[in-house]
Amino acid sequence: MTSLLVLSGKGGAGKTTVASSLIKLFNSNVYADVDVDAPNLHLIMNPQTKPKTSDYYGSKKAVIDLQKCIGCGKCAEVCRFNAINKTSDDKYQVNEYACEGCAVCELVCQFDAIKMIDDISGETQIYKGEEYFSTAKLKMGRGNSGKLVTQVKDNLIESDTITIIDGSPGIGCPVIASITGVDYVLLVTESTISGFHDMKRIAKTCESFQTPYFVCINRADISTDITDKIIEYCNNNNVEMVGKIPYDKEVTKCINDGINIADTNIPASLAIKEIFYNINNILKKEEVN
Amino acid sequence: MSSIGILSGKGGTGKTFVSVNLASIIDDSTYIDCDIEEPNGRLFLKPNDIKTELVTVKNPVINNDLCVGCRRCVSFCEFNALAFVDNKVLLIDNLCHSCGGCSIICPQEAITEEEKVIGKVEIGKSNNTKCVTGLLNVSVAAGVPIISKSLEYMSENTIVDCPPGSSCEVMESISKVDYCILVVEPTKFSYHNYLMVKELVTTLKKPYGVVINKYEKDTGIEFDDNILARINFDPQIAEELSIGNIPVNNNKELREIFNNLYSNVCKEIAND
Repeated sequence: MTSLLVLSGKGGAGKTTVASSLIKLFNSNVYADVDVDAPNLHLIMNPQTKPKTSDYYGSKKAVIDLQKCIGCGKCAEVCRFNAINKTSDDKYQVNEYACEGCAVCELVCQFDAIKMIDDISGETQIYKGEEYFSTAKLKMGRGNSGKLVTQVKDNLIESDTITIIDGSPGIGCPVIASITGVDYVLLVTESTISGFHDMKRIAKTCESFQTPYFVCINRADISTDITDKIIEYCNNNNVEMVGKIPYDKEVTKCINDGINIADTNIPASLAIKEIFYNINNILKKEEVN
Repeated sequence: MSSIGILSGKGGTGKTFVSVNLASIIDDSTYIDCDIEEPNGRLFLKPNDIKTELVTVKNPVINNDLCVGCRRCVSFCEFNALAFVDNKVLLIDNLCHSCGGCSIICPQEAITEEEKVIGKVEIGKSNNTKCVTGLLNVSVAAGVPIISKSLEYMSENTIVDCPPGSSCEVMESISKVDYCILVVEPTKFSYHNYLMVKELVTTLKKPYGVVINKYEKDTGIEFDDNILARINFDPQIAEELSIGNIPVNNNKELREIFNNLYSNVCKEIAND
């Protein structure tokens, strides 16, 4: 199966809008949302089946037994994450949000007062209907999102159509986990100074993983100057530009009404169809090679 | 006045827009960009006289001459960052959380630690605003230490521009602020992510209010909450932002909105 991951660097550039349209246009029957911090693809794909949900154990958390704790403070001393604080009665407690589950405190405690317990740090969801949709939600304030991203990808099944994966913003842990092993990345940027700046950072990230990527510009008419600069950047770096989407007020309306842009004839939809056509051509060319 | 964290859940709703405009109307303000993966505030504030401070974490170094192959470090590491390959302990850099456990557990004292650069903090001046930017190096996974370092520059009047989402990075970013502004837009996506951030600020017991950006009537999306300001969608503002201008500098109406927003927030903080 060929997989295409949609990324942007900057949030709000239009990843989910483009990904949901491409799922329709490619007739993709296996797809995923790996933006585990703020997943939204389900709001637009609107799966008709109930998901199979499973708890996700991301890391362990330290728990201190106050009966056994003598308040020596050794644990707080070695904790690199400032996750252990003194209580008012001179004992120690763990801040579950700061604890990364390294178990160093358990290692140094001579009074056997610290136990590491499994922590539910999120939930994976699999929708199995005519389509197969893998997604997840990280619990508030939890880290280790990269591991959950990997789980969402592992939950995918083989497919004879292209697998579209809706990614997360940024360039850090979840993004790195999402790029690993995918065949292609589509970068959705926008014609703003922020969009362009962030695109360059995510492009470098793709390059560091040697993952081929192409670029489309959303809201390309906000600043035609910056659109020109993005195109110039792509030309200079041998990056394929697969299309420009105009600013289109109807997009927000469609999304609020739960309508997939691919099912409409608004200007943005026509532009995305052209992007689909261009990506399809690239994939076919690669297949021949 | 004190410190305000700006967050949103969903990316692109206008965190940086609200942050830089707010920082611009406050005298002697400090703007701290904690969106270390993609920091954008500096593109608008365009700071001068930049000083750079590198941010490092501790990375294990294995002395294979001392290692006897007991593999205690490998089995201790909760993050699978150590492997035993070809009779040697191998570090997988990207998985290491720098907890220091391996160097403690090694009975041969074969593991020491060295500082490894993961990013930097840039401190500059932009008119009346001190501009602090946390920057994560490309292909580094986790940057909470960069956020903590950036927050050391908090002063009397600080605006903290947070990363999107509601993960541990966001939690760290708002750990020291007195008040939070949730920036939303009237879309289904934004509403969904707003509920997540609302849970976060409520859990941390932070007082908060909502700014509706790109406001339009009759979208069917209602934020039934403490609304501090509504900012109408305006193509001219969008254009100004796209080229890196700070709209309050030449838009009287918007300046008024931000002045009101600021005085509303000050009142809320004073009453808290």
